[in-house]
Amino acid sequence: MAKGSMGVCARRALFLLEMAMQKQQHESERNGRPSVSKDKVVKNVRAIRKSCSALGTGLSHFFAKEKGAVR
Amino acid sequence: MSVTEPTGYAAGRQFSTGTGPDFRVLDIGHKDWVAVVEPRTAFWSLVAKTGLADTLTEAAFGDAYRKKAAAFDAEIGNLRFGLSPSAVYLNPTERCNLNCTYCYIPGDLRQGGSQMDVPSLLNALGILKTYFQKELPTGRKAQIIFHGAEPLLCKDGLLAAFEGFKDDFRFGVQTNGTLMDADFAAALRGYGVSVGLSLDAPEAETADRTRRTWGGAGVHDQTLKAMELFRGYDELAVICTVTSGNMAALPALVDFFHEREVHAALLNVVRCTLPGARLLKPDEKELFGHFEAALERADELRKRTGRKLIVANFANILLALMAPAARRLMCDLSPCGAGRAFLAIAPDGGAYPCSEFIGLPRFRGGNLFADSVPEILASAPFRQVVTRDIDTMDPCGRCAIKHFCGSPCPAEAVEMNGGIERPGAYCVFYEEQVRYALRLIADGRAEDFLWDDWDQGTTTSFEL
Repeated sequence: MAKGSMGVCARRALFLLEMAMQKQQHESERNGRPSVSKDKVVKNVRAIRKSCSALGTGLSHFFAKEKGAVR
Repeated sequence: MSVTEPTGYAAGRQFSTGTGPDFRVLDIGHKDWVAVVEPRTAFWSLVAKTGLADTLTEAAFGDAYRKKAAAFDAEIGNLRFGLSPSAVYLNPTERCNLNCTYCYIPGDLRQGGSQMDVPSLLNALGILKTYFQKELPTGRKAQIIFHGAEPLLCKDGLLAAFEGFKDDFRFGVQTNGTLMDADFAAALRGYGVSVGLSLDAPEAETADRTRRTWGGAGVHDQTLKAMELFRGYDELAVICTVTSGNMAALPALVDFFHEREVHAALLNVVRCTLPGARLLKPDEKELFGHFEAALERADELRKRTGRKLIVANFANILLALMAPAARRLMCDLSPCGAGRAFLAIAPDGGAYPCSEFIGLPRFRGGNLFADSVPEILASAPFRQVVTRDIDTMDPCGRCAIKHFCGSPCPAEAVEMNGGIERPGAYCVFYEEQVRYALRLIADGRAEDFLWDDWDQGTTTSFEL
């Protein structure tokens, strides 16, 4: 369908969509990314990582429960 | 011209281009979750399948990663390249009273090889004590593991070692258990020695196929008697070498261990370093099916009794994901622990990066009685092993889970696959273990497969 044959509502919807896309593009160019939505990320993501200073025992064939002495 | 930091988009604002994070999507076989992995830093997150596109294209996720990327990079770098030895596999004898099908020590050595006398053993420990006193932080004890062939052929030497060096080392003994008796078991308990026993199946018919005397007799019953001497002992771990012949028995073996109050077991797949072992290499998919069933069985028993049986080699995969620097075993990493976190000493003083190399003379890096430990560590054979870098291996270098797998083992890669830079023997098995571990984390079950204080001494560095 040619653009000229659209009804008013359809043209307005298309205009708003184009505006939204332009805004997102500008924001993306400025920040390198679209706007932050931390709540959405937290809802969608699960991750856990722990660090420790005393590393493991460094054994390959043998298992000891006591934490070892590497570095 | 001086090198400057890259600018613009190449500075890492986008993922998967320039210097940006290399986020890879990994199907973990879960109905709701996939994993997003950044291989270089061993970063991972579980992401809801329905929110994957949003998560990857919104700034919050990438920003959370970028804040920690340097620390993760340093942590993995230190683990791979910054360790110094803290343990020694000390083989007091090359001889063994058994002739197990898959042993990585050649048969001629196990039948007529050398054996340390007591003064030589104490001399070796004295040399190692001097080295570790200089190298380890004050108050830290190195670990000495009396390892195979069969160390209980040298009971007098072991007792002299425990008594003479009880303040200097933490000791462990890996044994087939057939020479264990009540007095020696009491001594091991008294000195607080970690004990590893080898048993491959709950019933003699299966276990005795691979573990038998030179005359062909099975030793299952003798091993069970030894296990009974350590019932409830917190420092006991039982090692099962998993082959095509016993993999179907793994769930039953878990029942068997749990009933006998074993706290930790290693279900170690047979290493294919020597040709005899390769004949027993299991089909990896089938292997993982039995392995997973065994882990699930251990969890069922935990729920029913409140008592855990930790399958330590799988727990180590979970640790590689959840607390990489807290891992206890060093096979699942490349470079692995051989020649840098530990070394192995043969009865004649010969030094090897790991016991797995003792049958391969070209990997002998010197002699403890003639060369200093730093000279041994700097030797060409040791350098060859410690520079096995997964980043330069094909296809491992481009694998998303390379730092949770490590493509073990270098000895196996050399002997079975034609070069130390080649992958190990169990690519599919490791892939399946990592996917399963991530499924457990997704379902909030991971801690059920770890010992209760697994995160003691750790701090949370990343959580979403």
